[in-house]
Amino acid sequence: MSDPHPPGERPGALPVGDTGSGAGGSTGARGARPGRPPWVAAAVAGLLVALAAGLLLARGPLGDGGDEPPDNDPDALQASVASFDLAVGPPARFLVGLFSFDQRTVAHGSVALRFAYLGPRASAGTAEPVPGPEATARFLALPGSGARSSPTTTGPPSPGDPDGPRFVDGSGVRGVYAAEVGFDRAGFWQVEVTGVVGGQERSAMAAFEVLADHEVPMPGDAADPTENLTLDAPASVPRAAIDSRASSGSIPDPELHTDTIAGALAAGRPVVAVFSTPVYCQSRFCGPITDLVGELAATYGDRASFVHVEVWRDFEAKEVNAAAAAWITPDGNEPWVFVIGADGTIVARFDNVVTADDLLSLLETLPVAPDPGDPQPTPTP
Amino acid sequence: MAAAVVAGGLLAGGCGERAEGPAASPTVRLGAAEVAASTVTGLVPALCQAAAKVGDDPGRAGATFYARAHDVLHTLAAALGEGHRDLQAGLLEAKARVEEALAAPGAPGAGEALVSLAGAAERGLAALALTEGPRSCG
Repeated sequence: MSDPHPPGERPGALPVGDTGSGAGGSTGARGARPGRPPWVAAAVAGLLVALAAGLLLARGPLGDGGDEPPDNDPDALQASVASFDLAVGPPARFLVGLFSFDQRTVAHGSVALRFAYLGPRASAGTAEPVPGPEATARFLALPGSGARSSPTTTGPPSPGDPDGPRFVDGSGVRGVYAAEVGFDRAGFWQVEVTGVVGGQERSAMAAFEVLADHEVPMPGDAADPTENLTLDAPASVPRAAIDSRASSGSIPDPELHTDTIAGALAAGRPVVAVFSTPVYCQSRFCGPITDLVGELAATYGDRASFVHVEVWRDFEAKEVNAAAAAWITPDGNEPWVFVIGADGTIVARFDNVVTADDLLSLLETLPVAPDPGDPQPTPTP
Repeated sequence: MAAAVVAGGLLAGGCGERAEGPAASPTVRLGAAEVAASTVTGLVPALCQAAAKVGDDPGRAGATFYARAHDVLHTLAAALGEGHRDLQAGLLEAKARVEEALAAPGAPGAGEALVSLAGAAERGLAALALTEGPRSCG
């Protein structure tokens, strides 16, 4: 999607803060490939709302495959696509959250996904959907939520599975359902999620956009040498711009605010970078994901630099930290976690949810890297 | 009820295709999300109940907060992002203070933080025409 407005003239564009970050000269996520401006994302979000409304109006009550909850069914399902930056290409992780209309989360087991293409524009939502791929999605537990992710599945969900999906009211368990799905064309898609939830088959639908190209850096891309804010930032930098949680006190997780991505790359150290805004997060997952990265830093600090990049310089003024703007398209599309190899190449990226196992499997394969602050061994003749 | 839902607000924000009124329209639109009206009306009372419990039983107060308020607060915050950025910021900051207080041993300050959050939630709901206005935990 081209940007018809030059920088600074975009309606509603998010200003980027002068944080002292060169951000590698990059003006947006995906390096030389300019990212879609946030106002477009907002417009798309609005269109998706309209599209969702169209889906509701175009289909009957739940029993007929629609989303409108029957008055007497408090367990009617809603689905919400939790993936960011979906684009045409080979199969990649697709995330969807399930919950009731009174905001109870569905967790555990697996559910069936059936996709359909709606058209190139949101207004095409009333057209006949073109059937697309199908997949089985397993539950992916949010770190620290007290739940375990479901094992990898190869077949469809089993109706009699005692470990199947169910409402987890008040338990604190949170997570999403994940599957590997590829999309063959850009535009608007819908997913129908079906599962035996609490012993009864239920379904829900959600609409989402698939882009022609990814906007956020992908594995294989060169990492932007970002000069993110650290504890050494000048006093003129608001502490909340280093970590939004600092607005209510000291900066938590100081070990995540010591290194810059640029410095680590220059030293040949791998990097685990989390882009998040724990206070202002819309996905509900920023805090737990940031905490997970902080916990791993304590154990694997000899293998990589661990960095938290706060998204917002000033949330209320919609001013984004330059370091975040160099990597992601903010305002609702966080958290992200990137793993960068010692050679500066992005090894993996995780949108919204990442588990300890995901990161551990990568960290275990990374060679132990020298800490730039440690004395270097004297070369032997 | 601390946060009485205005019938007009529900009718305006509900599914739209139902005309019978609030009793037959159990959902209300909060930005991009559609949630049970009872969840919206129950938000501020849940926060006030948690505030009332926190002195005797911080654990129960926390359970009430996370089970009945946390997720809908995120949904409300997302809805406020469409035109009420200041209220959105205030709500999320108040929520963060509650979470920080509840996480500390004995949850010092959590009661006050929960009452403050209830007020921020009321202001947000009022801005979306979903309540009659602030009544707080009185």
